[in-house]
Amino acid sequence: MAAPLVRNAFLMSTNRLAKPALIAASHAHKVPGLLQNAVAAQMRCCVCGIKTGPAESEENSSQAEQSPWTLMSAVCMVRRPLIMAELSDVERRYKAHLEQLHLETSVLSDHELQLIEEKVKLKQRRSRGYDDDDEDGSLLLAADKEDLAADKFQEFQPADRLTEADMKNDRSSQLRKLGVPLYLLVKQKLGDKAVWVMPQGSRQEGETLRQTAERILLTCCGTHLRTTFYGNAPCGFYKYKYPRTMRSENNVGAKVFFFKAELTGGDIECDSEGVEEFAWVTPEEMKEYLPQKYLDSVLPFATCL
Amino acid sequence: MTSVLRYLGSQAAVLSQLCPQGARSLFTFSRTSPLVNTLVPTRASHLRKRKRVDPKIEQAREARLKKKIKRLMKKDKEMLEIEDFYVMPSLMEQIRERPPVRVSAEEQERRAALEKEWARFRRQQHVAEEAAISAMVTSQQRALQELRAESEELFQQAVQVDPLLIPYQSVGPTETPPISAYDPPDGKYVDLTPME
Repeated sequence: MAAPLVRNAFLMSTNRLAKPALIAASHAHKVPGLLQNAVAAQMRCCVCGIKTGPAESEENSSQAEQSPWTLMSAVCMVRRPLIMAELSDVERRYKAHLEQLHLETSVLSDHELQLIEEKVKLKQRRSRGYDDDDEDGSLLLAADKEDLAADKFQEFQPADRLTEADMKNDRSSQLRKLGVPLYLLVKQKLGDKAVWVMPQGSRQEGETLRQTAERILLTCCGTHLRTTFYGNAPCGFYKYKYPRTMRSENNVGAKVFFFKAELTGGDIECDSEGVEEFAWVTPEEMKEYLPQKYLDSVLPFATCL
Repeated sequence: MTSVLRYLGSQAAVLSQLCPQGARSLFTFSRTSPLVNTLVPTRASHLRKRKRVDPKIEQAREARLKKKIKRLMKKDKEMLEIEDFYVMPSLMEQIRERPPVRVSAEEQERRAALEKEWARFRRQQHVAEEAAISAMVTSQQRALQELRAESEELFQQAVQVDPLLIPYQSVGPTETPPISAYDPPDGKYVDLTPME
């Protein structure tokens, strides 16, 4: 679209002030020669600044009816890590280094002071031959306190960092690999083939794309999943054309908009109609399921961070 | 017009009686045209008599004010104690000092090398994070661009702020996973049930 040619501002303003009624009724200014043919586009008159041509909304709605692409929403469901990731070698060594530094630059604690005191006293008693008049003897020695604490610590058994699912390498479990984020992939029937994708479905009339995404999740994964969608905006885009047998004039292919959501609880209930199986996978494992072009669209937002 | 002139004239007359040289200073006449004799007051001042103030008293007053301002400015520069840096006196006792640890030269070298390795590692992490965030943002911008090209209405709906998302809360990862059906032990408490 050509930029409006701005004439002398004074001229423009006087025009507007002088005859506003005329302009509103019928646009009398002649459009310069070059732009006369561009009727479909919305142009701005260079004399009076009024917009000519079909209104924006009309244009868009006509476009939407004629658009040959099916609009689809897909859900990128992420299971956030439940435990701290494994520390790398550098991290482990630096952690030990910091702990040593903190110990060296600290002052003695009450417990340590008590330990030192008792050591000294024991020495004295030994030298005196273990006289049994121990007036200042506290009920609980520091060493005893340490033993008690160690016993209490042994009583508590934390859960294993490596779960059952890790052992069996059960990809359908969301409790596998607790230290990294996992993404949901489903084997969905699109057309006549069953393909591994992120749960997707086409938009119906009157829905926003996010509402579509939420509906798709319910139909594919059941009602027991509790999720939080990360806002109304899509995080990724993928476009594909249908196979030639299925293609037609106004049905060339589909445009998929990905919406990211986080799993807050619940399990998947697989609906055998649309979805055959599902898997919770890391970005590295996704390569085994997804074609390269799809992966290129998905990996930017399905990261291992 | 004439009434104004008469009024101004009368004022001038009164003032001339009070201070002969003052009347002239109060009203300076400016002639806008030779045909009309107009009196236009170009300066004005108090019509009340001013008290003769001793300049010394005024100076003293000003000096006092300046001193006050100086004192306040000095107070501003004083640094306040930071409460977090306050250390309990019991921790500063001599008996608490840890016996100094002698670190060998090799150990010092090893520690310095480790610090450098850590800095390198953290920088790599940071660069990777920045790249990942940048890729995410680019991906989203592209998606929004494509959506706008498809449908302006859907784009406007997508760009709305989700009020339910903010404030966002999430529980972070722990060292070990949560134990299913965990029965936590009772903590210390004071039993206040009334004894009958």
